[in-house]
Amino acid sequence: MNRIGTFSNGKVKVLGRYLAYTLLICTAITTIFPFFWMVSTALKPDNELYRFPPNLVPKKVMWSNLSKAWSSGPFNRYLFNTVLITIITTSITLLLSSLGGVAFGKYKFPGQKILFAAILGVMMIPPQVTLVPNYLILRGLRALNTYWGVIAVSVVNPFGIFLVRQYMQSIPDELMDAARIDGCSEWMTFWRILLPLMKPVLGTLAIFSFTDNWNSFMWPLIIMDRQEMYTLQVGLAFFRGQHMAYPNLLMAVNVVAIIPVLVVFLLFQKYFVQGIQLTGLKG
Amino acid sequence: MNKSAKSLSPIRGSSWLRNKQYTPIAFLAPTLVLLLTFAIIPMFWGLGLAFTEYPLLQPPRFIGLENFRRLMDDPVFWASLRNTCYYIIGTVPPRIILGFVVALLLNQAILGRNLLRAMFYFPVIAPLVSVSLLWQWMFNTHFGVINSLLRLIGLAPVPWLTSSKYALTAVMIMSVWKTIGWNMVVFLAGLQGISPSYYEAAQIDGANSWQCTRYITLPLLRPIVLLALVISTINSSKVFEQVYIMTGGGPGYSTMTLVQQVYHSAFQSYEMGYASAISLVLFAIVMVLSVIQFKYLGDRTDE
Repeated sequence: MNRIGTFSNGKVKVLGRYLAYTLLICTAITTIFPFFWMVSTALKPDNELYRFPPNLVPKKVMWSNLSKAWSSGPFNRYLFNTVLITIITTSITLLLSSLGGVAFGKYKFPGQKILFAAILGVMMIPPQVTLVPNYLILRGLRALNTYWGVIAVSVVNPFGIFLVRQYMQSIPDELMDAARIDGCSEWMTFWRILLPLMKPVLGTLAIFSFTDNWNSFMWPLIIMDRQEMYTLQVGLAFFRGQHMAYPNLLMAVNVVAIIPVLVVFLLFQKYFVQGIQLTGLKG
Repeated sequence: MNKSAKSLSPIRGSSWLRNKQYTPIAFLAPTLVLLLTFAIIPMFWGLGLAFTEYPLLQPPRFIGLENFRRLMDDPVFWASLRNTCYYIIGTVPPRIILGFVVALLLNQAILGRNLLRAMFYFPVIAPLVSVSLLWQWMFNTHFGVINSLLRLIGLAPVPWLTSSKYALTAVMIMSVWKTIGWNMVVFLAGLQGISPSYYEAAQIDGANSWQCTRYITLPLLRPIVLLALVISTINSSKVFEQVYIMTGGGPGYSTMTLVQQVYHSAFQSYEMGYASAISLVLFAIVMVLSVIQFKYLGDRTDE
């Protein structure tokens, strides 16, 4: 390579770099703009909604929209339902996944491989395919319009079992043996020794489970037909039907519904990325 | 016996373990019961229901292939099938290509990388219903911000969600926006797994950055592309929330999708058998698509 060649090559590289950087920033702004618009709309007074050209930022910031919107529907109840379902489902998912992961990663039993493959295979069944029979089963169990109806269908997470199993394989068996020699039962070994070791993997699983359940819509929509059992997402869709003409109020409740997800995302961003990269299975 | 060689099975030998062999079964029992009740039994039951007439208030009645014959003559079903296909074809390539491009750009050591990555990723975890409501407002024909922008640059407003010509496109735009970040993260993981020595060697041979991308990055990323393609396709074929919120399947049936039709048949018309037949078609499509993609891209990796 001659010197002139490297020089011009370098120049092209710098130029290309700036171009790429500009492109990247523009795309990123476009990506985030809808959220900006959501907040902006939420804080606009009614008379600024239908204006051309629209104000990018409201001239008069209506913080009162947030409380006004929140109190124009039973949103406290929706929030309570969502929080309850999310917490219970996430906790049970973590427990079942860690138990399952330990069973596959730290024990040997006949039929283990086939069972593991079967559980992963179940992951391939789209839940939309089992919508009707699952509805009928829950109807038969008299679990329509109950929290358990939503929870029971969402707690089993083959992805979680897979994640814990992978993680368990890196933990030496000696730890369990030592606990057993000290007189721990199998359950105590799991609870006292293995569970604390799983913190990182359970953290990843917890945030995925949290967002999945917080955002979940289709299943609660089908199971809950009494308004006091609606989750936040179902309640939002219902509220939309009544307040079509007030996008500011609709966006105001939307902002409140997104905030918990945003907070969890900002706090645990690293785990989201790790979780996806770990398996590539979670969308 | 070398203790560090890991398969120190708890079952082998020692007497204190003998009664512990049921432990893993006990640990798995709740999971298995739930999987059986809410995944495996429903799958077979759904298969059976597809051959019945079941208006919910009366017990199911076996009617053979009648549901499938009805499907063949149902214009709504064909519209759903066509829209679902359009949706897959229209959203999968852009989300993968854009996700890949963003990942390539973000794979360099640049200022604010983590912030940019977070900006691209946030739509992925934002609630689908919330962002659908948001985009519905942005797509509003008269007052939506998108048409305002078009008007500002002198273009005519587009009746995004109120015309059967544009509604599906609008839903697709929103869906691509929502999923670019996911593909980006998957591709970034793949890119970080490629050893820099390949690029160094190529540079010594005088390859430019396009050639590096074309002949090193792309072939090495093929398994990741496959993964992204399969998962994106499967997810696209199940599109529901966006359509339910933004258009309700309309105008006409222009945005009706298969899952939307399953929902309508089952929970609005209470035709459980017919809904199961549509579910079965959906399931078949998902399976066929996965197999084709694995086969096609799987073979190419052997080259």
